Amino acid sequence: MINFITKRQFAFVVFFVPFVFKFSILPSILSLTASRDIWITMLIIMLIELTQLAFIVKIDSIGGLEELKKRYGKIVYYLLTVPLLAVMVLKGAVYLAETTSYSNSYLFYNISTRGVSVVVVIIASYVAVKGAKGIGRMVEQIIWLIPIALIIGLLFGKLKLTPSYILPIAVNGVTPIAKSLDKCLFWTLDFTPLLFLKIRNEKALPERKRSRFPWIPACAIGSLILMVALYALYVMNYGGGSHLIDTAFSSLGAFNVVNTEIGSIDWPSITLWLSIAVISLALKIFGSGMVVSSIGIKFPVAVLIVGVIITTIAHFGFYNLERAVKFATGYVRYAIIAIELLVPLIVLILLERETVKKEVPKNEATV
Amino acid sequence: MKRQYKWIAFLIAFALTFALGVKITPLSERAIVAGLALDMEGEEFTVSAQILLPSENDSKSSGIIVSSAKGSTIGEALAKISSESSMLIAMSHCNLVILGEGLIARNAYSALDYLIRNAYLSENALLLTAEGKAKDILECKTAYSEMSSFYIQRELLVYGNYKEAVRRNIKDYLASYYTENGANWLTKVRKRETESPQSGGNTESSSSGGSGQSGGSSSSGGGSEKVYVLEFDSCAIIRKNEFCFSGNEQVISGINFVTASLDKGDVVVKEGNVSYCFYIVKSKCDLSYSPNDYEATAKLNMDLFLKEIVDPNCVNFDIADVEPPPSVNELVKTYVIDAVTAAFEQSRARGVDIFDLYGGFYGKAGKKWYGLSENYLEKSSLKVEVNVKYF
Repeated sequence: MINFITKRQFAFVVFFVPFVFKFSILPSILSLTASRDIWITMLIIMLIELTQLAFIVKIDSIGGLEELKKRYGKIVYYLLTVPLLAVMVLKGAVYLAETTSYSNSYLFYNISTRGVSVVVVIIASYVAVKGAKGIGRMVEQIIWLIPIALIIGLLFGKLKLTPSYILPIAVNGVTPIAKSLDKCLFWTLDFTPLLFLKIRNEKALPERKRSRFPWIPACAIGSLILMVALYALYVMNYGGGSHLIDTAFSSLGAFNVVNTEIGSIDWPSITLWLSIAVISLALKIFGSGMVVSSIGIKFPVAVLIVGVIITTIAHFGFYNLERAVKFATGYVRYAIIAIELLVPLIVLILLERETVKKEVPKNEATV
Repeated sequence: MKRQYKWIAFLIAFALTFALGVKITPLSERAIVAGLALDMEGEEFTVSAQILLPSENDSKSSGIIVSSAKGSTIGEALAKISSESSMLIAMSHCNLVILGEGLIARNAYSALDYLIRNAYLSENALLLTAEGKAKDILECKTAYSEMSSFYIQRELLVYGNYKEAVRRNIKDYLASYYTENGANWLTKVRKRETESPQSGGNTESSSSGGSGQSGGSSSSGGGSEKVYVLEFDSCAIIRKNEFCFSGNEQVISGINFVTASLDKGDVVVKEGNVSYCFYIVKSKCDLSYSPNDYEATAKLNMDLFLKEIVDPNCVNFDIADVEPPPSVNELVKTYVIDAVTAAFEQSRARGVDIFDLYGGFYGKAGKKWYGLSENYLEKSSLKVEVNVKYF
């Protein structure tokens, strides 16, 4: 099955997904309203996001979307997944614009935006075609970039932090934090594509091959701590000028920068960000492809269609990052957050209701 | 079947990459900027770039050139340099930006705004100011290095100590600019003519005016060419967009004692005829604040190593056995306290909150500080405590 993933790989995806697009241009957008309190905004976002993850894991444990289609039929399935498809495509287009802008800023000089976005989508689509297994293997390999970046940073980099920049905490009340939260709704609930993954049941495996470590909760908590810490470090580094930095992770790579007479080396952080960006896009394309393929189109063809649509929107609809951000901070964000919150909730209620009705033990419903 | 997808994906990627006109600029067509100098005359910027010239085989640079252009914006001036050289300006290796006196006196931030938003230029690039024109510093041939930008970087990053090396980069300047008081400080570099220890050279100089005229003069080097030593013994103290004053070595030391972690440099004190020289192994400062009393305390913990004693009455002694007498310890403390106090008081006299006391008081008091903050700088005092450990 194309959507099967091991528990550990799923956990790594959980660890990586919030990290990439929440720590690029978003800190700059949030700084305009929440200023030094952006780390509190991120704490709230992560708590909301982990609630969504809890829904998704629960849905998976009682059969997932496939079970929903089996029990309630295709119409209910489409009613619930087509809005998700729209969300994933729109988010994919905005994130693609962000990835392209990032690549053009750090990797190439005066390169064609169009060319970069096409190449990124082809790579992300290829990973998506490989399915959950391909995505899972990629995250397992990329996770090694974290210690590499850390070691290089600790050996050579210098990070000058001013802890007083973060104080006082929430001195202007909750209004600025609430306003910043409102601005970043589009970048919230990025776990939606995980609804289309299926965690491999380890009960079928021999005892010695079963993982006893609670990978998913550990990675979810790790992700929350990482994001809040990164935002706090970001404020301690840039202080009141945080709103001017539109590529937060690579810029915070000051920690990760080796200054030499001929420039600076921040490749580990750039490679890490870009790789996770591709995986994150691949997940969205994968999820969208799963919906499109359910109408009877072959999965690779469905992925190709989604890739073309995302590229078209990113290029002709947004063209540059500024327009993409304007779109993402517009009214569409309310529709997107509503869909991403309500659909998993409805799916969970429907599956639970049916489960109770049929008195099917949860364990048996799990594949 | 799966392998087919792989090849199809590769073929599509390559075909589209070429079809959509992605062009990789070869190294020989790139003007690799090693240092940037920004000056302002009237309403126009003069941007000078020290460029490493590519050679035919791409494996090494064939020389350097300082190219200048004027423009109403920095981007416009850089575009003129690019156009004049027929090369793509590559800023990713630029690790030094010098701001001229004229620009500092007017509005340094107007220039830095472009540089901060320019992702091609690292925000870790060193930032300093020049006595006179920044272009003159970038163009001058130094006695110790063919390229002034490399010489400055080495001085500030590797060999400079706390009395001169105010290591500030674009990011530091940006963060300080956005504090309540906007106090900033930058090393001030000036050139001093010296005897040439070298002969030969291939530095060229060219300039292009705002009207588009271009031309230049080249100097082939040799014994008659003037060479310079760059000095870093003063710093520009700035508040937001206003240049306030030039600090001397003592002010630089005071700023560095409080804001930086030091691990090199000498402290020399004199008691009567005897001189004591201590090497700074480590020095770190913690600031604490008492907003109700408008009092800040800088607590310095220093590890010093007694390096040298010059005593005309005593010639034979083992330096390892000599502990500095308590009176000398007091002199060391006074030396540090004087430096920090000089930096604070001289800045305060010009309305500059050099150690961002506002941020510290605000962080401690929170909202309550709004009611206390009026004329806070005049009411504030800085207490300096020094703990010294000798090795």
